[in-house]
Amino acid sequence: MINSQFKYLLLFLVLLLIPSCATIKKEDPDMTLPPTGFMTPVSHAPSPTNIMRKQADLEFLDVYDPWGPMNRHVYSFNAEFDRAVYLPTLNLYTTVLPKPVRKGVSNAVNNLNELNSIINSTLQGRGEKLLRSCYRLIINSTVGILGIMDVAEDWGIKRVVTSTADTLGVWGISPGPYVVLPMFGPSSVRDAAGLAGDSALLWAEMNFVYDVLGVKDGRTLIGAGEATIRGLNLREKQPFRYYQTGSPFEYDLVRFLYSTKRELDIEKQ
Amino acid sequence: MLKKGHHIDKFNFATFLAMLFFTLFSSLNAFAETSEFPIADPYKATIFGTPPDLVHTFANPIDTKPCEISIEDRRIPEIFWYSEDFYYTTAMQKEEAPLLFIIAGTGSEHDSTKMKFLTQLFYESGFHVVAISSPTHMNFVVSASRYGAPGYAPNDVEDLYRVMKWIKADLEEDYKISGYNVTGYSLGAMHSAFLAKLDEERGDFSFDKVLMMNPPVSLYTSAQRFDSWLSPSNLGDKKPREVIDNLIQSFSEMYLHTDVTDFDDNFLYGLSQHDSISDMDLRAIIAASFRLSSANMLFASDVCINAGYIVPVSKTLAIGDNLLPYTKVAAAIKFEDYIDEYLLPYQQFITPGITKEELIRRCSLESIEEYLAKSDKIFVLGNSDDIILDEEEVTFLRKTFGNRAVFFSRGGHCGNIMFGPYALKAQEMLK
Repeated sequence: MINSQFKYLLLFLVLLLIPSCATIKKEDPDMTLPPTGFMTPVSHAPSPTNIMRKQADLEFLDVYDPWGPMNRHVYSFNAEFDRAVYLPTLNLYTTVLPKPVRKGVSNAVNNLNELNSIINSTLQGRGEKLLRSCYRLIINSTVGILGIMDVAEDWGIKRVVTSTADTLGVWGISPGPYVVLPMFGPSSVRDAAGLAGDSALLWAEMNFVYDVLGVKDGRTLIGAGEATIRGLNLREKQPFRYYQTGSPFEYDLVRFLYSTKRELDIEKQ
Repeated sequence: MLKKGHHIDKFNFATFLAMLFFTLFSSLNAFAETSEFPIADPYKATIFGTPPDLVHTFANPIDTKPCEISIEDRRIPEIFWYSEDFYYTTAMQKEEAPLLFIIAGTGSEHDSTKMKFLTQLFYESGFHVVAISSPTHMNFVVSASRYGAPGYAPNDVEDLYRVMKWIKADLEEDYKISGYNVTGYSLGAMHSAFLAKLDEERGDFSFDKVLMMNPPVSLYTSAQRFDSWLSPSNLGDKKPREVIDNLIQSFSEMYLHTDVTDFDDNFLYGLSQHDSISDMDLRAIIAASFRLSSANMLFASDVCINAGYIVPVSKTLAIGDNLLPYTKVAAAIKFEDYIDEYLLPYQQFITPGITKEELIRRCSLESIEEYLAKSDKIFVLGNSDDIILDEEEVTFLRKTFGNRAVFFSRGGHCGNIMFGPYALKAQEMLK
């Protein structure tokens, strides 16, 4: 009882710490932007001819996106989710946990992902990356106290950034249609399949870890907590904020950048 | 005993290191304070900004507060649901202090990189700070602009004045404010001057000081200069497409590594690895960045007032609609066309009889020259190699403001805002 009251008090104090402003609400009939009936004398509405004009030559922005309408809805949902749930939770997370603790969390998550890097480096036939991931897993799990400290990084052994999606790319599988995944954001059919592979692998790995640690009950709950922490850790490292580009064409710009970035990523593997 | 000796050795070594660092850093600082901005090419300075190690740093940065204004019953197009409220940032002192409004430059929002920097800079020098997006940023257009069509300075300044009054009333309830000041960079600098003029008539703020950082003299002339940089006479055989290709290529690479979220001139910062490109390309890149801002602005405006300029009047855009065709046509529209085909007819619809000459004149500092010349609370901080100004315009600023205008010889357009000497000068001029 006391315990739960204490928790609420703590939560309340934490919320006080987060800087925020009240919304100013204004009523002003002049400011409601009523329809005026004004129409410009000239219209540049898109038509087959004016889109092809030389100055409007922006077809590099075209990405294969047959499910565009659905994707745009999901993008919009993600933005709303980000604003209403994800970022406020992240704010709480960064306020409650001091930076060194978050660094530890991030290191531990990265350490658990080494297994993924080992498997994918193998599948890609990249020996150097495979060795690096093995070293890192061994060093950080021991000297780095179960991965909480990234000792290997200090010793100059850089983390391998790869995933199942990269493996599929290296194998020559093309991205297929662009997809915006709920919560995860921009992706493609290939990358979404890769993400499913990563998740399955993680699930198996975590079950193994629980077996080793002798955790029998409440795995679902622990798993949910762990997934939340992972999600927050991921969001913290991503500086992107929806609609901060100030461009109404953000969906198109992000789609183009994501697709280009993925091609570059796979090239770099 | 032995252990202790070892310990002392270590301590001495640490002290030595600390002293070495201290000497190094203090000499670096001295170097920074007396030296010129390192980038001599004004186009490069404009694009790349201040080299990271010469950026003025803050000992105690403050956590700023994101704030919002919501106007009831305002018609917000469905596709702009995310811009329904007006966003701004505050950084308030604990004690009584003067308040400073900062107005962002073209297409920039209240917490763009430059705005974040300026917020910290003036908080450091003792102000309560309120950072406001440019009226040309889509969030302002959608959520808080009376007529929904930015670019005509008198309307934009009315919009700014209105939100500033609301914010003032809100903050006065909770904070002790000893006076009001206003500053801004680029287009925001021009807005600051017009705000000062408007306030002389209305008296809501009675500004103590006004600082214009890198102002244009005429919005129209500067915008025209940008347009000319994308014209065949400037590009020769090259198509704008090729320049934009290079730009986007580098941008996408850079996007992987940096914290870029804004399509203002900061988003070009990371392109410094491409310093092999000619002046011509640099100009086109600057112009393309401006064109993108203006495409964003005019699409947002057209959707808000349903004027049929880019989106047919009968078409109500929904969240699932493909906007790329509109991006393409919007990006092909020159600023001059925007004025002739959109802003001027709309302004004539609101205020019948206004001419193009009058509209252009009222977007120029020359229209309030007399006021600027005699008002000794207004200051200018600029660069004599600013690419949005020609020689005549620099002379106009020098002549009008006399010793209230300070010019650095290098920095291009806002390239040196974060450079130590510029930043400190800005603080000093607003003391």
